[in-house]
Amino acid sequence: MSLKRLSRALLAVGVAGSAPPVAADKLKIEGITGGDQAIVMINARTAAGCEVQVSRSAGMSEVGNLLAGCKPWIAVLAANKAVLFKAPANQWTDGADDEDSVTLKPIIDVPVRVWIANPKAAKKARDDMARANLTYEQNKVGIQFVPKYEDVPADSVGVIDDAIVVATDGTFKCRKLPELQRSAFYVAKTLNIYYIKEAITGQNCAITQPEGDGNITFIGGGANRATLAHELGHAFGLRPMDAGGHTDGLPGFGSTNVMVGNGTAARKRFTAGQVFRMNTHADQWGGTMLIENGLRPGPGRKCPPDSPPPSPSNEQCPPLDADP
Amino acid sequence: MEPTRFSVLVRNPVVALALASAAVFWPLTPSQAQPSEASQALAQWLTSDCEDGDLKALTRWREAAVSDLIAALNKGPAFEGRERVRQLAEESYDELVEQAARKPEWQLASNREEYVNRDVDNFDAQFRVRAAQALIAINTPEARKALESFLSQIQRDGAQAREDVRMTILALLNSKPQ
Repeated sequence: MSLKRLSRALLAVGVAGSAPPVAADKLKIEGITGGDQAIVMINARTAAGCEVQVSRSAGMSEVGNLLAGCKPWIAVLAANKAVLFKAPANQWTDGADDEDSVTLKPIIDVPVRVWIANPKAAKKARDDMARANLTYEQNKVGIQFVPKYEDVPADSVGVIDDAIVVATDGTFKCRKLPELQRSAFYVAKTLNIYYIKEAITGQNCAITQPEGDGNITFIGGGANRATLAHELGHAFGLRPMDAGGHTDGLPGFGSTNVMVGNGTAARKRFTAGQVFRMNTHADQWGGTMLIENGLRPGPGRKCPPDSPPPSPSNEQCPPLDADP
Repeated sequence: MEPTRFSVLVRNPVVALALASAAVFWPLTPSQAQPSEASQALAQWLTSDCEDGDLKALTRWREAAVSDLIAALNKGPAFEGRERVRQLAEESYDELVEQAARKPEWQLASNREEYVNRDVDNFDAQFRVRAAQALIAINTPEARKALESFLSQIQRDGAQAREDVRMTILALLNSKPQ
C-alpha cells in the first residue's frame, strides 16, 4: 500500500484508529487537592431524560452533551474540602460547548461537645472520635469533628440518665430532652454526645416524638468503634427505621456500609448518595445538623434516604446508592 | 412462616448462635443455605447498632425464641465471632495509628491492648444486653426467670459479665413488672 493510500485509509477510520473527537460540555472544578479524584454528581437533561450522572474528576472533565431543560444541579465530594452543592447550576444548552465552573471551599470544622458521664469511657470517646474522623475523611463527607471533652460530675449524671430510658417494648428511647437541653450539659446548635454507663449501643434522638433533637446522641458500653460514626449519620439526616436510613440488606450497600443497622465494627463506607444527603437533607426533624447548626447554608432539600430514584418528576435527589 | 417452625430450624441454641454469628461475620454465599427469617431476626437484633433496630421482628416469635435468647444471654457470642471482632479491632488500631502520624489531633487515647480488648468486651456486652432486651420484651415467666438467675449468677461469679451489663439488665427487669 502506498503512503498516500494508507493516509486516506487512516483518515477514513480516524487517525490511528481512534474516533474523531466528539464535542462535549465541560465542568471545571477548582480547588481539588493534588492527586485527588473528586466525586462529581450532575443532574441534567441528556438524550435519555433528566438523570444524575456520577463520575470522578481531577479538575476538568468532559460531561458529554448535556441539554437544556430539567433543574440542573452539581455536587462535588472532594478530599479535605467541604461538599460543594450548586443548585440551581447554570443551565446547559443543547450545544456541546458549554462550560460550567465551580470552586471548592475548605473542609468544615464541626464543633462537638463530648460529655463523659461514664468515666470508664473517657478513652473510648477519644478513640471513637478518631475513628469517626477517619471514616468521614475517607468518604469525602467534607467535615471534620472538633471535639471538646467534658467530664460530668457523678452527682449530675441524673439529668443525662433520665434522657435515655427503657421503654415498654424493651428498647432504650430518648425522652425528657427539654430538661437535658436546659441543663449545664448541653450546648445549643452543637453536636452533643453523651458517653453513658448503660451497656446499650447508641441512640441518636432526632426522631424522638414529640421533642426530637438530632444534636443529642448517646453512646453506651455496648457500642463498637463504628457506632459513633453511624449515629452521627442519623444526626446528619440518614434517619433510621421507616425513614430508610438503615441499609441492611439493600442492594448497592455492602456489610461495610456505616449505616447498616446490624453492623459490625468494620463498617467504614458511605456512598456518595448518602454523603449528598448528610450535607443537604431537610426533614421535619430539623434535617442535617450541618444546616441546623449553621455550618452549611440552607435551605436543605427533602431527599429522605428511601426517596425514589431521579426522574423528571423527582430530579432533586440522587439515588441513595449513587457512587462512581 | 409460623413461629412453631422456629424451634425446628434453630432448636439447638449452639446452632442458632453459630448461625447468628455466621450471618453477621461470614455472609453466606448464594449457593449456601440462607438463614431462616427467624434466625436472621435473631442475628440482626443481637448485633443491632441502634436502639431503633427491629426488636419486633424477633419478639413476634415469642416463646419459640426464648431458649435461644437465654443461651445468648448466658453464653455470649460464639468464639468465632469474638475472634473476628478481635482481628478487625487490631486492623483498625493499626490504621488509626498510621493516620495519627499524619494528623496528631487524631491521636488514640488507648494502647493496642486496651483498644482491642475493649472492642471484644463491648461486643460481648452488646450481645448479652440485646438478648436481655428481647427477653424482657417477651416477658414470659421463663424469660424473667432467666434474667433473674443470670443476675444472681453474676453476684456469685462477677467475672461472667461486666457491671454495666448487670446494671442495664437490672434496669430492664425493673422497667416491666410481670
